[in-house]
Amino acid sequence: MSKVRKSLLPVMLSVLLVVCFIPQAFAAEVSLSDYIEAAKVSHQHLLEWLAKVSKPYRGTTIRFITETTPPSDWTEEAAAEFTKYTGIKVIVERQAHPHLQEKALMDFSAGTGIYDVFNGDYSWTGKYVEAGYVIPLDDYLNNPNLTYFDYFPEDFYAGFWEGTSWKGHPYGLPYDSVIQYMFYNKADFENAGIVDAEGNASFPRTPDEWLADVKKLHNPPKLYGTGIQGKRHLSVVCEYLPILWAFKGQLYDSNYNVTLDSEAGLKSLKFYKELSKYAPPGATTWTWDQVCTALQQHIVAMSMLWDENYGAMEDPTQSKVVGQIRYGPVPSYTEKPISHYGGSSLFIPASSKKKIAAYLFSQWATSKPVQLLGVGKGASPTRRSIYTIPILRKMYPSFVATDKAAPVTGWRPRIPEWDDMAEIMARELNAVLAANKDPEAALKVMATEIDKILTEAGYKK
Amino acid sequence: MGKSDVVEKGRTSAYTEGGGVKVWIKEKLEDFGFAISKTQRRFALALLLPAVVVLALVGVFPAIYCGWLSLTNINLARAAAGFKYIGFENWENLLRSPYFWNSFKITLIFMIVAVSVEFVLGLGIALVLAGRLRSKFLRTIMLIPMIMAPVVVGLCFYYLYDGFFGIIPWMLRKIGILGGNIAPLGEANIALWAVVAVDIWQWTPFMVLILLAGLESLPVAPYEAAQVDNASKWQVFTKITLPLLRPVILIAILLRVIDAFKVFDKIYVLTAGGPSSATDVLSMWTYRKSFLRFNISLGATVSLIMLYVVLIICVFLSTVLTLERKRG
Repeated sequence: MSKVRKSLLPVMLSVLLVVCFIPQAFAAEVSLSDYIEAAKVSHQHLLEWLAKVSKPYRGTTIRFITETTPPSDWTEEAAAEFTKYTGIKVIVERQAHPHLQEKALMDFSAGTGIYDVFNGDYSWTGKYVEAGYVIPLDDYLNNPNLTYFDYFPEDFYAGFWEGTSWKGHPYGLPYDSVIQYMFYNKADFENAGIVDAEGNASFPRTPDEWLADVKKLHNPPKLYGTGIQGKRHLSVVCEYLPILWAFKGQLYDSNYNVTLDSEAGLKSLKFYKELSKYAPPGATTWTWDQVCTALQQHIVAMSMLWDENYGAMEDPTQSKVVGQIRYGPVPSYTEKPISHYGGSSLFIPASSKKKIAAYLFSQWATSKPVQLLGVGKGASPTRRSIYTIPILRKMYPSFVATDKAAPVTGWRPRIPEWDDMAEIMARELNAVLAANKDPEAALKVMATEIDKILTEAGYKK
Repeated sequence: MGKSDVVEKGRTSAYTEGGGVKVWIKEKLEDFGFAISKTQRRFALALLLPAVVVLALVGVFPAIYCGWLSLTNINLARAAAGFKYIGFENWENLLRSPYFWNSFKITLIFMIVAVSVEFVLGLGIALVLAGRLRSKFLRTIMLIPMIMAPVVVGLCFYYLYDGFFGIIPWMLRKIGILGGNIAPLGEANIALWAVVAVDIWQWTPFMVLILLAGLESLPVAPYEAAQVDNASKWQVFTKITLPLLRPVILIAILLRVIDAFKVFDKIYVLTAGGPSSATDVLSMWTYRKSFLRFNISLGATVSLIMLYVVLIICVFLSTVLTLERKRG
């Protein structure tokens, strides 16, 4: 009898567990605090593991150069815990986007080894890899003594990995999910009568609808239809590219023949010019920073913007539109809407003298618990498992949009010559918006100069 | 041995040694009244040496290095491709580029308009204040725009010019000068003048202070003579004040011209060279080539051209100044 009892015990316990917990699991979804607690526990385990493997590097100081973005704020805030356990001190140096590259490239080209971790834009991958300025991470990732068993790189969106890889080798750890799509004010849409059958804000699906909605929303000086990142800056290029893709246009084809001055290019640029008429005065001097402020301050009803700003919209200390912003893909004539990927990854410079310490830090900064604990505090996760958490999707509608957009993002070129091309495009696009340059003439100039760059670099067959 | 003997002996020995440069230096020193012995001369040269070395390291060497860079094709972003000597290809490309000439034109316009307005305003204010502005406090207040970092000035005016909430466009709209949807920094035909206005705001006090100091140090006698001769105010100004003040004016203009020609910080913050290429001055061009495209060789070529232009302007103005002194 006792034997029978002993063998029945686990079965009985299992039945008891099922009876007790399954109804609870169905009754209510897991709360945010449950996720936070779980993330804290995982973080603690990760830190303890890091403390063990980082013993040889205790007392080391590493310098992390990054862009002034919300995720950098979060990393700097959280880095104290990393230092406490590993003894590796982290100096975070934040720079505006253009200066980030200036400083980093000067260091890398001189081989001085000032920086140990570099938060680089994916479009720079080709340039830095081809110049030998950053190292491949295969050896580190495949080394169980250096990579935590639960790091789980497969959790990163596939496109983010691809963006940071070159010729089949990973060079960076996806750090900041930056996807540019539409931010729009739900209340403004409803007030302007742009609603569906159920009375909810109805988001435009094609550029025609987009322009029509912008016109309806435009009520200056109280509210402007749209924001524009029109400054002679990378921002104007980043904003124009999704519009070009929306009209089924491309910069160049697979043989590097420039197609920017095609009919699609012309239509898209004319559309962009038309759209800019409904932006606040001075928007031709704006970058993504001013557009973010204009949305927060309820100066514009909608605009294209990077998803990493979702937290800024929901922060009551700086935003007048808490709870009002919704997100959608860039309206397009293509079968699937294409949002613009602009993410960044953590690279380890070849000139760094503390590569392993730098790798441990990069691994920690891109780990799931650190990204999860930073949600709402600046982190812009790059891991899919975070975007699929139901409670976070409810709290941050941008998570749904990012999760939808991530698999179908459009990319800017990653070839080393991209910055040269972007500079030409910024000049000409800004001339169309701010100096009334004929869009056709501007496209001709861009196409001619980009073609010259591609020919001289030997891409064209 | 008297002083004249030393000079005479020095001249003879220099000639007999056949050192042409030594003779030239010695004669120049004598021209300036420095009749010194050989030992004293060596001591003087030894004292000068540290300054010469520092100058060579921070001025001459970079200029020569810059010249070498301009003859190569170094691009930091493509280090793997290496670099080579390409002769005057950068110079040729640059001088054929319409964008370069456009930047050159914009830089000259900026310099000429800004310095001219600063001078006229500065002289006018100095004439009004001459003999009246005794307060050291007020003179110090006048220094405030000058001592502000150009980047801070740029940022302040960036917001003052903002098309949506900037006070300057708001005021201009109120008095009907500016259209409803126009922002000064966002319009290609206005932006350059908006930037010039910022430079005028910052540097007019400099002109005022220099010219005011010059006016207050002018001799009284010519004015008394003019009073006796019953000269009009205009005659006093054109026949006495301006001619006497000319050396001070030239120095003030020289300093401002050099500074205005290489303006960068304000434009970088306010417009980054835009809209389109409306404010794309040469410094901005150099910055873009060197630090955005990392074409260090092309950036060095533009820097050298800027250096030559500034040198020509300096030589011209200092020659005028020397002639003025001799005439005086």
